[in-house]
Amino acid sequence: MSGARAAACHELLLRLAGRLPDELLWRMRDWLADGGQEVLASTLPRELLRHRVAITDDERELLETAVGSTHPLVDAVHPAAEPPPTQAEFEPGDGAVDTAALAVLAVVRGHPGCVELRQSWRGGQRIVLVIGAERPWELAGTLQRVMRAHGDRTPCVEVLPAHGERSSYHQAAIIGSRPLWRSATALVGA
Amino acid sequence: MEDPTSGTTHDLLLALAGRVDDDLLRWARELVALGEDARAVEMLTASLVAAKAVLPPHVRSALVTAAHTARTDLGPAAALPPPEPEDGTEHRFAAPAGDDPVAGAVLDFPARPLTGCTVLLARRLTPAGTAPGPLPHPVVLVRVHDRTRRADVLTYQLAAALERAGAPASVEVLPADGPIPAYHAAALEVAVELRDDVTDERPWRPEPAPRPQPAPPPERHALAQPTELPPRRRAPEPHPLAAPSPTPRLAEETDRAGELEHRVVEGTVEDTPAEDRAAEDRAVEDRAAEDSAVEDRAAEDSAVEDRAAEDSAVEDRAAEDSAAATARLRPAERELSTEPAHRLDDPRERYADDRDERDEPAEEADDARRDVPEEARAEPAVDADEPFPEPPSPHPLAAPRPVPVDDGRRPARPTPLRARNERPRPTVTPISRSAPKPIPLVKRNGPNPVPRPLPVGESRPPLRRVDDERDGFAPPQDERPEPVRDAPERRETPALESLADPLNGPLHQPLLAPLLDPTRPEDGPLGRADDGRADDGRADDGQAEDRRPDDRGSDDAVDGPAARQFDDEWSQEWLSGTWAMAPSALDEPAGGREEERAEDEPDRSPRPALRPPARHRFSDADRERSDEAEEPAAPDAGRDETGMRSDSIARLSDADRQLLARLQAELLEGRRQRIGRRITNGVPTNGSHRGVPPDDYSA
Repeated sequence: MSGARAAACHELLLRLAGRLPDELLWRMRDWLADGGQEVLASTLPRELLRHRVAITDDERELLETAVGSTHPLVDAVHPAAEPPPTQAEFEPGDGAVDTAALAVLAVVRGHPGCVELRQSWRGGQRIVLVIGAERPWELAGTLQRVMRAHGDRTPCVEVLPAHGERSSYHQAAIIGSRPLWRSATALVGA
Repeated sequence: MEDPTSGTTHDLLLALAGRVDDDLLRWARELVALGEDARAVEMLTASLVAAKAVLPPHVRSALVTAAHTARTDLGPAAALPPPEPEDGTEHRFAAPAGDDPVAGAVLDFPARPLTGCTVLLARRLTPAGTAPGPLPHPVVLVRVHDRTRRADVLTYQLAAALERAGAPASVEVLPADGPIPAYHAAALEVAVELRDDVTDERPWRPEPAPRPQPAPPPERHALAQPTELPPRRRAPEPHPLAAPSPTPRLAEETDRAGELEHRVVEGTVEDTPAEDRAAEDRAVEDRAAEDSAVEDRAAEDSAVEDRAAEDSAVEDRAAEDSAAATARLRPAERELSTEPAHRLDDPRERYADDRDERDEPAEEADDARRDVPEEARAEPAVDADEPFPEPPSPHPLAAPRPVPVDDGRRPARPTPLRARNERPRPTVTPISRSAPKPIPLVKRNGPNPVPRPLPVGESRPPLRRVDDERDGFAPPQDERPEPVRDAPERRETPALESLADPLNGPLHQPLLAPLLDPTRPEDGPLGRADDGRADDGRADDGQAEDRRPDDRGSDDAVDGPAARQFDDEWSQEWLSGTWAMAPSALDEPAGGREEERAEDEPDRSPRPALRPPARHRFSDADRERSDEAEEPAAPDAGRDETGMRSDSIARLSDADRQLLARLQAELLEGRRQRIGRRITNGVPTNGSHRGVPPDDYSA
């Protein structure tokens, strides 16, 4: 089903944060948000090879689910024992909420399943972190467009599952971020 | 150079403007400029397929074709929605504000890449793509009048410059004529022209002041071309690189000449079109030239500047601008072609000698350039009275140029050119080959006289002297443009000269003349054998040999100035031929010196594999060379021990050097070890001269 496939694509693209260039990654997430799993299936393996990205076995499974195991380039992607440790540095910023952050907040509030919204900065690039969301790929696409409209040419929106293992990139991002919003559930801790 | 593929991809990108977001288009243009068309098409197709974009039929089919060519797996033919014809564009544009930052960045862009282009700016008010950026979005439109210019490269250049300047914008490069997409037409309707570099195609000329043109761009362009180009067309032909003209008229003429020439250069090797153009050019000149002197100067200047290859490339692009005007002129010009055609032969013959002598070896390299000189020569004003062979003035510009024929047209000689005017133009005067000419031996001077000029200039004067003595070995360089030389100053050894002038070093000089002339001890490399110097030479051999270890780079306490000694030492060394000897054939000390000699040899080509140490010796040579260059030449004093001049040595061909080396080796060996070795090696057949030195040596 497209949902499962889209979820696999979304998780894979999530894990590739920091390993693929931002300008490519946000476009792939944009394609995914528009229902372009086939497009991703055609382009993702080649881009992984082009950027010499090695993927773990779990990620390879995701890739095969996303693009189909019969894709000729799937096997060509380098294997990796574990994802490489991130070298990105995140800063929480001064907490100022600009128009773009307000717009993002407006969207996140109305999206089902969202628990928390955080914001971080990585070398001048804003990183939006959303914890928990249903159909996260759709939310990512929407938030990216909001950021683009506000002038961010390579929006970095990480819609993370409420639970689960975080990659080193996301861990660093969460640690170096500042919360913008928490849902009532998160605040209450229920 | 434009290729159909890039042009097609560029056109596809133009057609996709406004259908994908501007960043994707900018990225795709960058990829195309870098030659990654396939990736650009893949990205665009993926975005369009993911967005399920509805495209007009021609755009959709073009995209399908491009995706198929790029071998993407997307299958847009099936994935894209069916095409829908469009009626115009749904995008709206507005003129930029007065203080638009993008306009400022555009004006700051250098002029050279934008020659022949008109740049306009508009702001798009409507979003584009699935994730549009802020609005209004700046769109820079460039209308190119020169078809040969790489549109995709220009796009990338301008876009990157704007990005660096902090004013990113979309850049759309369009041909000045021809159909344009509705998107761009809508933009052009309201765009404001920022700069117009169409009038002057020569970047080195002072830039024309940006013309404040409020007129709507499309109308302006439609009118601009016919009005601007025809006057330029009437240039006195191939003077693409006319020097800064003293008169505006001359500037115009040279401009036109450049354009015409570039058309010629583009046509290159074909003589017929070149002749046609030459005929046309001459016809144009006839019609347009009221001041023949001015033309002559222009011709001279252009001839000098002909040599700048990069200028010709610019000219090529510029020439395209006047294609239409040229076409208009051509029919009229062709009417006169018959008559000028005769003149074509006339000047061409006149220069045929030089050309034969000089261009033959470098035909392939000179083809394009020869068209230019042919064109220039075809010009009656320029070529008619070319006194020719000797260009009198130094020509720094001429140095790299492979067309010695143009020497006569150097700006340094306006007077002779004017004399040409006195000749009736239509006259057809067959030029006799008996005109004073370099000796046929010129041909053996190697493939290309071009690099010759400056670096080896110092050695020329002595050659002349030798030529006087030896008819058979007159160097071709006599006819060549030669910078002013100080004969007594031999600041460079032949090896150094040859190093500086790899193509012409030893081959340009009479091979054995100086060496074999016993009456000229100074010139003869075996001078020591020529006269009483032989004794000095022998004695000096020992000294030279002693000094050879010094050549290794250590201080030379024995000799005087190391640089000067170095010249003689290595000259002697390689002449000794010990390097050519098998190590076993030489003594231990000689064997050790072999390496040095080998390194010192001006001609290292035959023995690179044999003498690895030559590499570092080379560095010594470099050091020495600089030392020598600074030192005023005192060749006689420095060369006492060897009796040879470095320049004399440089005159030898490789074969001769080897023979000399062997000869010298024999002598050395004979002196040191075996008398018998003297006879083993062959003696050059150049004459009985050789017989003299050995006798002396053997004494």
